[in-house]
Amino acid sequence: MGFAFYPQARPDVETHVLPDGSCLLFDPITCEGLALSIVGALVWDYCDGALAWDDIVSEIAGLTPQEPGVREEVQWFLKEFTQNGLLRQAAEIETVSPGSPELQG
Amino acid sequence: MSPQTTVRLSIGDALAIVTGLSPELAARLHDLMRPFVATSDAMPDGATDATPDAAHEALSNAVNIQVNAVADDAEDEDEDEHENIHEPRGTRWIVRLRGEELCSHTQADELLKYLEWLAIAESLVATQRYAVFHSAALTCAAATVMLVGPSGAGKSTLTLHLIQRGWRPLGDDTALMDTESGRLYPFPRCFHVEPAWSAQASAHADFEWPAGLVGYARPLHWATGGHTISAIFLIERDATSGSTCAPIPQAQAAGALLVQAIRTQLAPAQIAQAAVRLAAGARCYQLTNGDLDGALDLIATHSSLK
Amino acid sequence: MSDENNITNSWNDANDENGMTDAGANAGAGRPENASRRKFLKAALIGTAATAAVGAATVVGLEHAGAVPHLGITKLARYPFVGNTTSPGGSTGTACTSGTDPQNYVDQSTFNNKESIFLWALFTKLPAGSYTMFVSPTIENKGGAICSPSPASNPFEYQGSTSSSSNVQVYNLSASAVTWTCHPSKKTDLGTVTRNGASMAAAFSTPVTVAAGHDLQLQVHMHNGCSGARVVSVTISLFQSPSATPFLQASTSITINA
Repeated sequence: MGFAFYPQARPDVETHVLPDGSCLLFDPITCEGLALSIVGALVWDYCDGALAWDDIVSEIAGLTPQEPGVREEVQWFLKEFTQNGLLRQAAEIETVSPGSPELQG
Repeated sequence: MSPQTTVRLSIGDALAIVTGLSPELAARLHDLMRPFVATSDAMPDGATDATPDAAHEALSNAVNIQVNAVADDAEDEDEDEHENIHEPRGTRWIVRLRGEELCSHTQADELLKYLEWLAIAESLVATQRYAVFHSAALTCAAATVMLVGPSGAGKSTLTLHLIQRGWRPLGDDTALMDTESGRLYPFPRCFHVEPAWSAQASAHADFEWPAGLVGYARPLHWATGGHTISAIFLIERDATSGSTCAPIPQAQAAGALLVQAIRTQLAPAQIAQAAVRLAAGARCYQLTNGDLDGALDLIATHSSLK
Repeated sequence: MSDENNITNSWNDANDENGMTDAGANAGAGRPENASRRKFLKAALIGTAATAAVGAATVVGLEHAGAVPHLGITKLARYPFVGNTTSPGGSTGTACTSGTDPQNYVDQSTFNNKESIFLWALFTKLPAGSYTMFVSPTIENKGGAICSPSPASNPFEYQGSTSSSSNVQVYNLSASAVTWTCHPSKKTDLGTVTRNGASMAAAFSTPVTVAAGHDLQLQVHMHNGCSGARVVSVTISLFQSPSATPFLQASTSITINA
């Protein structure tokens, strides 16, 4: 049995996407703005609780296969969002393996 | 006892009322803050070109400043300090805000400078309609720009020279954004200039020197009405190299504006929205201010949306 | 302008059910009609990656031509709302940090954990009066940094103990004595200290009286006391007694390595 982390943005953090693709987050608790590059803006957009951490990395990195640095960058943003308290507490789900008791019937 | 006066100032959407000055000092304060002078409590002076288009029908946010002149018993060691005083020697002016004593001054020039700052600072804190940023803003036929940066980056120098190149100022260190329209409006506060620049007064036909105060200069011609920003320049000083200009993400410009936002009655989140709104419609650049002419040329080149 | 997810799309005046429309005062060429935000950001990323690959000068689908960095440069930058007040005529305030070699104060804004930091603030051309200063976030006594919740609220602590008089030093300087914009190049440039103390509160237990046109220089010796990388914006506020409105403020950003 394993667990996956599904990043989810704090709903009180305001998100402002600008016409050039960059994004300004505003944290009402710290009264701080955080300017994100396009990669950061996309990572933030993916933090809606629907995809697991690794899946977010794969999806975004897959958009630009010719740019190997994107994968690392996505990982970096996810860590930054986590360390800076921008995400909700981890929404964990159980993953069920084929031999698990739940499937024995 | 000399008659006391009341000076009413319409600053942003607030009304600052200064009472207790002698007629002579009131006249000097009036001259120093002429674009802000209101004609009545209910309706400020909307006739000046520099005030926002929307009328101030009823100002609920008023700032009351009281000045009391009292005899100063301290001995005067330097008689030259009294050259500019129009009150009898030995006068101390006590300044109160909402009844609380703030400070006292024995020099008329220092009193006027303090009142100018206090009226503006308190009025901006009281403003409810405008987002206010510590920034220079100017406009010309093709563009409207904001120059954003810390003290010492060279914003004022760039502003002074752009005016001499025909640009009209919206403000030297204060940019007022109407949160309803998203447009910048003039904030015609006096520029604070270096004495060395003032000394070349005869070369600056575009300015006047109100109230006889050293270091305070006011452009003769201001922008009028509301303006939509076309470019934002984040200014940093680098005297070791020539001037350069590089595009930056709009979010970075919005963040820089947020740092330079001045406290008002708007919530921080509203101010962040205002900063984003300004950046969203503009080309945004990092301008390294090395040589003056190079920087001025770069601003002219990069400021237009066309 | 916000949709149900608290998201605004800055170029729009109104949002459709997906939170994005193409209408509005700031509308411009090149933006997809009725596209979702994720589609837009994906297109922006792919577009800038293509630009980087071929070195083109313009990027399709973005509002403004030119190379908008998408990788590496300025990934995440912090901008605190400080709540400045407007500056008095001619007076300025500047804040910065440096290393602590008294023979050579070198500009430095990135430090390791527990590395010694000098925090400086210079307020110039002040009107005659009495002044106090405050630093935000509060600098704690040695060993007292407040590290939780994350991010740490008061991560800095004074370098010396509560009995040290050199944690905070204040210099009242004539304008002619100051040839720098934020901090001197060496200790001997400062001359005799005006006030000192183990903390800001101790140094400013009573206001400092300043003659017209003089400058006030603040020097604080501190270090980061919380583990983990962080970027902290520090603001020094100058108050002219007894006003409750800051007379001047200056901020600087400090980066702490993990």
